[in-house]
Amino acid sequence: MKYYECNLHTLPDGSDSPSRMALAAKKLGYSGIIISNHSPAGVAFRLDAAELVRGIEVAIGAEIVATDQRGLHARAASLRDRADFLAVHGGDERINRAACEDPNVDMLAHPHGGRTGIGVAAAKAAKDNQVAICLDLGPMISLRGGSRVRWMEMVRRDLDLIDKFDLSLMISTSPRSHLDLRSPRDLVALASLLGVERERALKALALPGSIVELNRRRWASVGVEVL
Amino acid sequence: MMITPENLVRHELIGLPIEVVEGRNPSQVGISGRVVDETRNTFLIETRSGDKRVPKSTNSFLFTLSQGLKVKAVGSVLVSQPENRINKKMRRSRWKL
Amino acid sequence: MSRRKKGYYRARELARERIERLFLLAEEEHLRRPERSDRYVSIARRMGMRMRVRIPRRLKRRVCKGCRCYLSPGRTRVRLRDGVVTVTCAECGEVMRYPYR
Repeated sequence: MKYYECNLHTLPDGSDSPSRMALAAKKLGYSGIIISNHSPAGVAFRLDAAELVRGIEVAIGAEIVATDQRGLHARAASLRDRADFLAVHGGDERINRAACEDPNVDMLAHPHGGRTGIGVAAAKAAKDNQVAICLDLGPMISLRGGSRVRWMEMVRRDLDLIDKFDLSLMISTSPRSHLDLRSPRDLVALASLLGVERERALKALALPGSIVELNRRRWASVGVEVL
Repeated sequence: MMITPENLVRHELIGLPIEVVEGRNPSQVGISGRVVDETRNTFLIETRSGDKRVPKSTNSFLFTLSQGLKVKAVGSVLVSQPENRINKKMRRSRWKL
Repeated sequence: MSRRKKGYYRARELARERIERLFLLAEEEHLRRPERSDRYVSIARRMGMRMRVRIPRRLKRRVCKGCRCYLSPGRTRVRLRDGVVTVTCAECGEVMRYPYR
């Protein structure tokens, strides 16, 4: 089984370099990591050192933070060719829906930001455009008490929607430093507390890898590749 | 305008060298030859051992363009009558079906 | 004529190219399978109609106006007389006359 961590933040967004993250992830048993910082310019920091780490694949993605729909679509279109993986910083209801309506987007990260989660309209659009939803387990680890309970309720509702519309699920902790990383086994266990079966969690951990591999091929148009 | 990988879905496929590279029916995978005719759902391929009609939706095909480029296309994108295909709008991105 | 979006013109250009290509193929295939040539011609005509593209005059004359079959030396009788080319289709008997200088 290949396990991927799909929403890493390294310097300058996080607090560790890509190579440090790669080493830590490898030790925990990951087959690959996807670095998705908020701005693509910041990733190049010491990427060569990360490449030297053997045994783990380092993919460059981008997490788009947008304030309005048009900006989101514009950035997604321009970044699509350069990134192996495109994620959108979710949280706001309108941004969630805009991300789900954009076929260029691979994944919606932590959609349950504030009070709202994914809506039915967004879920339907995500199904049509094959946008995956990322279950962010970071709050589960860092929150306590009442706020965690509320968060879990919201996530459960979102998981129901994901189930009903048969969307692709991905799991991550959105680590900002190598100390935030958790091993795949831990993630599967945490996910099971929220009602995600083991098999589904494992599939969710392997999914980013297949998407990155698909994105790396040369595509001319829908379903058409150049060999 | 030559046939380019971007054009392929809208261009004339009759006369192109073709090969079935993936498909639900294992006996069809490996059929190769030239496209001689096309209906909404099938290709008629002339091979060394005769003409074979293969469905589009369940197979993936490899076309060889004039410059030597090989382009692999998922069959379900090509499902349509040949005269209608020229109008088809490609809105999705890349590999998303 | 109103101004249309760019994709509209590109599609028509593609249509023209496809029609030329189909006629080329029809010429090649005719020796072995005449019915294929007819089929290619019908696809070309349908595409021309759908995309509002005119088939070039020289290609139009290679098709019988009555039965819409591809005209080739095997099926056609061509005679010249008094500045008029008379083309007779062997399949349906249709007679087409075209003036020339």
